[in-house]
Amino acid sequence: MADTPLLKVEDLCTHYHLPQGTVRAVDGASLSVKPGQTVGIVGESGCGKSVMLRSILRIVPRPGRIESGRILYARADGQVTDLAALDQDGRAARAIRGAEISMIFQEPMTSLSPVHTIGDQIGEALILHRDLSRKAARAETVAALDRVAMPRAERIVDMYPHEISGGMRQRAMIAMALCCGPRLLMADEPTTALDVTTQAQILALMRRLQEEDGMAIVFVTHDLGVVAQMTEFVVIMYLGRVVETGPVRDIYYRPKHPYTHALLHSIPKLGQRRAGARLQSVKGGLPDPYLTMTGCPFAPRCPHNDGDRCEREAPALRSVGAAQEVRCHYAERLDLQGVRKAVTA
Amino acid sequence: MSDAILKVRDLKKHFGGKKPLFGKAPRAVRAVDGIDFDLRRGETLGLVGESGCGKTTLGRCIVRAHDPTGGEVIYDDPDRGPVDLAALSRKELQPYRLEVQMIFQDPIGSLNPRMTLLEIIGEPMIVNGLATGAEVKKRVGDLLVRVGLRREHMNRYPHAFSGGQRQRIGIARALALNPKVIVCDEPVSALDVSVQAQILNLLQDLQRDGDLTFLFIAHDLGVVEYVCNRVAVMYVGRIVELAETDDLFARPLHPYSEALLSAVPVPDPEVEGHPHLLQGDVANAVNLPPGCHFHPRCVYCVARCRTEDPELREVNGRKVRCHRAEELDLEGVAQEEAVHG
Repeated sequence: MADTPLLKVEDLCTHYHLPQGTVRAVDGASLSVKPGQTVGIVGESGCGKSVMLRSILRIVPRPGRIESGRILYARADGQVTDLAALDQDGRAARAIRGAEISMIFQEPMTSLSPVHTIGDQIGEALILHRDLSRKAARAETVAALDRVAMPRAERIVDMYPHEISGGMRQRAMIAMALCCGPRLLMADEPTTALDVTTQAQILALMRRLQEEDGMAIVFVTHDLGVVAQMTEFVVIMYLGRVVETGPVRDIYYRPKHPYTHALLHSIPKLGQRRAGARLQSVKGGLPDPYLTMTGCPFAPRCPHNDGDRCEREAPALRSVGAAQEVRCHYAERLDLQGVRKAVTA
Repeated sequence: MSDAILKVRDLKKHFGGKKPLFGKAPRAVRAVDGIDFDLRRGETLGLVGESGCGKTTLGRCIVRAHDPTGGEVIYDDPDRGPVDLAALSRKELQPYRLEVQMIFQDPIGSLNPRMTLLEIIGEPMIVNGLATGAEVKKRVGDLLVRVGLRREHMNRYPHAFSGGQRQRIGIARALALNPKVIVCDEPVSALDVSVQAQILNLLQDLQRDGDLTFLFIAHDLGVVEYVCNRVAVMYVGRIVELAETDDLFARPLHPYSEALLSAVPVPDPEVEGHPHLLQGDVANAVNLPPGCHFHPRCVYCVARCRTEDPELREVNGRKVRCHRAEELDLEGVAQEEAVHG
C-alpha cells in the first residue's frame, strides 16, 4: 500500500471574490503526496502556493473560498476523506488540522502569539488533541523543544516569543507542528525569513526529524537551492496553475516548461561566476491578478510564444516522460537546457 | 589621483548608551564598531553578513543618514580634493549629498505614494539647482528610459507599478543627481527571482555606461558573487574578511566566511551540500564576548581566540581578522562550469 497517496489534490480552485473582481489564486491545481515523501512547491509571489496549502488545511482567510475540486486525504485508519467537502470549522476538520496535518509558517514572529508563552502555545495543541493534563502537557512540551535542539528548553518554555531569536522561534514553531505526531507536515517558506546559517540549521533539523518520524512534507518555497537539497518531487506553479511537475532530477536537468527553464537560469548560482556575462531574465512582470487569461498564462512573458496557438488555447497538463507532467503546447520541441550539460541518466 | 574614491577609517556607530535621569547608563548597541576599507573608483564592493551585523547601518553612515559616533569617511572629490564626510555639518554636507546616493531595499516604503514619478525623481534636481522648468521634465523622461521605463510614466503614481518597476524608479531617483557613488542596500532582496535578474542586469549596464561606484549590501551570496569585484564579510559590526570575489569564494580565510558559503543550498539535486553548521546565534552587539567575537561559534577556536581580540590584518594580499588564518585550510565553493541554456 506504499503507493497509495496520502494526499491527492484534484483540480483545486480557490478564488477570492473582491469588489474589484475575482482573483483566481488557485485555478485548477493538482498535487499528490505519498506517505513519507517530500514534495516541493515552487513559484514566485502570487502564484497561489500559500493559498493551496491553506486550502488543504481549510484555513483560507475570507473572502477566499474553495470553488471546486477535491482534496482527498487518507486518514490513519485508511479512510479517505475529502477535505474540500468538510465544514471548515466542523469537528472533523478540526480533528485533522493540527493533529494529522500540521503547518509551519513563514514568519515565526507574526504566527506565534505575542501574549502567550512558548510553553502555553505548544501545550494548547497537546491538551486539545491528546487530552493531556496541564502538567503532562508541560513535560511533553519540554521534550518537544528538546527534540528540535532548543537550547535551555526548560527555561524557553516560560518565555515569550519576543524574548528569543528568529531561529529559536522557528524551532519553537516546528516543535509545535510536530508535537502531535502529524503524518503530513506543510511548511510554508519555513526558512525564507532566516539568515543562511540559521537556514542551514533548520533544514538539517527538518531532515533529521523526517528520518525519525517518517512523515510526509510539503515544502513551499521560492528558493530553488532549498528545493534541490530537500525534496524528491517538485511542483512548479505559475498564476494559480501547476505548469510542471516531476521528480527533482527531471525538473533540474530536463526542464520542459519555459517558465521552469527561466527560473533555473535567472538565479546567480554560487560557484558559477560568469564574469561580464548577463543573467537571463524573464521579460515583464506578473500580470494583473484580476485579469482572466485566454491562452497560456505564461505566453506574454514566454520567449517561445508562437503568437497564435499559445495566445488562443490554454494548454492542458499532460504527461511527458515517466513521471513528468507539463502544461505547454511545445514541451517536446523546445529542447530546454537544465542546470548542467552532462546528465547522468 | 588615488584610486580610492571613498576611504572609510575606523567608522563607528553606537546606538543608545546615554545615561538616563536616574540610574546608570545602559550599554550601547555597537552596530558598527571600527570599520576600515577603501572603495575603489568604478568597482562594486559587496558587503555581506547576517541580519543585525550592521551592514545597513554602515551604508547609512556613509550617506550620512545616520551621524557616525566616530571615525572618518573620506570622499576624494575630483574638483575639491579629499574631504571627511563624517565631520561635516549638515550645511557643509549639502554639495556632497549629490555625489553619494542610496537605493533602498523596500521599493514600496521608500517612494512617497502621493507624489508622481516626475515629482519623486525631479524634486532632488530642483532642490539642488541642477535643472528647472521644462529641463526637469526632459531629464526625468531620459532617466525613466535609461532604467527601462517609459517617458509617459512620469505622471503616474508609484502604486501603479509592480515591485520590479518600483525598484527601477528608486534607481532613477538615485541617478537623478549624477552621483559618483551609490550605496545599494539590498536592492533585489524584495523582488522575485525572475525580476531580480532584470534589476541586476540594469545595475551592471548603468555602471558600465556611467562612471559609477557601488557599495552593494546584500545577504544573498549568489547575487554578491555575480555583481561584485570585491567582497567584505561583516560579523557583529566589524569586517572579518575582505578579498577579491573569486579568491573569497574559492578559498575563504575566515571560518565565518567558510560557514556562510557552505550554508547556501546548491540548486542541483546531485550536488550534496555539506553545510558547516554554526552553533548558537549571532553574538549580541550589546554584550560582546571577550576575545574574538566569533569564537563561541567557531569550530577552529583555540585558547588564544578566547582572550585575544584579533586585528584585521593582511594575509596574502587579503584582509582577514583571524589568529589562525595562515594555518587553517578552509573550504570554498567549487567552481563549476556554467551552463547557458
